[in-house]
Amino acid sequence: MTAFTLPGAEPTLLPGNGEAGCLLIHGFTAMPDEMLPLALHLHAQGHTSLCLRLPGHATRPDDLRRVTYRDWLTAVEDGIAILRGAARAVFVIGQSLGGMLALIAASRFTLHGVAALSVPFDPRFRQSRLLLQLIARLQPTIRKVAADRADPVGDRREADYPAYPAYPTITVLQIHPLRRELADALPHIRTPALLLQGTADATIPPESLLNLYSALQQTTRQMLWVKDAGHGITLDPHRQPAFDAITTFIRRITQPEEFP
Amino acid sequence: MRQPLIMPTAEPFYFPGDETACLLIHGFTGTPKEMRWMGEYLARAGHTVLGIRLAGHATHPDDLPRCKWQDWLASVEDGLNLLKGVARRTYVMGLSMGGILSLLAAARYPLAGVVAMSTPYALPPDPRLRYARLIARVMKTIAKGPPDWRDPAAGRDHADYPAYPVAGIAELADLLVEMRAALPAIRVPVLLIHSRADSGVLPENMERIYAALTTADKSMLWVENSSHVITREPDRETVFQAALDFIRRTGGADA
Repeated sequence: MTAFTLPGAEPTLLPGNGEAGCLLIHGFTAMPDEMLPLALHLHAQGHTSLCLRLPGHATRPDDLRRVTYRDWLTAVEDGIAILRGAARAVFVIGQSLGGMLALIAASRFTLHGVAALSVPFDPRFRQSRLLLQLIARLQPTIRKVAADRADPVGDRREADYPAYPAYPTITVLQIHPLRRELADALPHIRTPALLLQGTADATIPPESLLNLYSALQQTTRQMLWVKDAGHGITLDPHRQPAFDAITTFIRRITQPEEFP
Repeated sequence: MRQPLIMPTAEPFYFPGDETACLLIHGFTGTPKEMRWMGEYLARAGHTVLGIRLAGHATHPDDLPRCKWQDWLASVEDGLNLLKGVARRTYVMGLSMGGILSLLAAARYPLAGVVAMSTPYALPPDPRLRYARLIARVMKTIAKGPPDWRDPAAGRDHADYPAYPVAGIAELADLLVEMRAALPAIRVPVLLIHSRADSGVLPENMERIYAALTTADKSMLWVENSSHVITREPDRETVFQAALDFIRRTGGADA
């Protein structure tokens, strides 16, 4: 009788008026409810909102071991296909890893818009695959919280964030091919893009936002520094300017007559 | 590589409708496409329909062998969670392995009813089955039998993987153990549908599932002129109509 998904972390579909549909993609080791505040905000504007669950997430950290980046890309494709049945215009919105996936999707699908929050992007970044495999042998689990509560299977969530408290080191290897896919995708994106990053984000390279902005050359793009927000913008106390910017971004595309 | 990973025409599908939702589940190595006609039929009757893609399916055959049966059931769980936001009651309808997952879901989650089509009770006896995970290390796939479609046009247009991954068969066998244990725990209406001409999953499987069910409302429907994929075969309209009648009879139409 047990469910696999952690209680409260289930994927959600909030039906809207059929005009705009928003796919919301959470970050690495995070859970669908990371995006729920934004989904509720968009739903209140009449938009259909779908918070998907990336494979390996929101169940048990060990489930990440057999997941590859292909499964994450395919989960986004599932979400787009589902939203196409519910809305005329499809927007894909992701945070961190979810933002990488959103931008890659924007290079493969005809979308109405893409919003990427807190996406790490450093074109010069190199990490040795071999070294990471070695580290994964020596330290199979990366613990995000204090060691006294770091059992990766027993622990369900971080105390103050909807995310795993620990995750398999080897899964970091799956982010590498996505970095490459992202770098390949950016110059080909023709979907209007909104890029956001918190001024207090200590997790990703600070120049990520500017790097992404300059790599997106084939489309109309905007960027916004979210004042005082950290990496997880959707749950940050300073998120409101980001939510407002996303709402306006969608409106400008679905109701251009309102913006002479 | 700027191509989608999901095989064209094999994407999952969603049709918004009334407060009665149908979650449709395809079979092992199959794709959402084999459930799409059924989904369109139920949507025309006004119901909300979600045709999910099971983990590892409808992309590349290499994606399937690393999946465990729990990943497939988690795909079902995701679908049920999405439907919670748009409908008051949910029926689950599955073909073959999708039927196994439907029955297992009925024992684990609150559902309004189940339609299980062409569903196996057990895999055919084979001494290699016990060692399938070992065999999978040296033999990755096992060939599918020759096609026996009664509707050759639907067969030509079918989307699936060309072979069975041996590792997946081991998972399928474990999933069947779970299903057989779950059958007596099902308390919701169940409709079983099978073709007497099914040469992939022999007709006796339906009778064995029926016998193991203890739910108050269980029924069987035989069709004659179809092979395994009855949702795309000549009897499909009969199958779709039976599923719709089942919803109406079990209270799903008074939304």
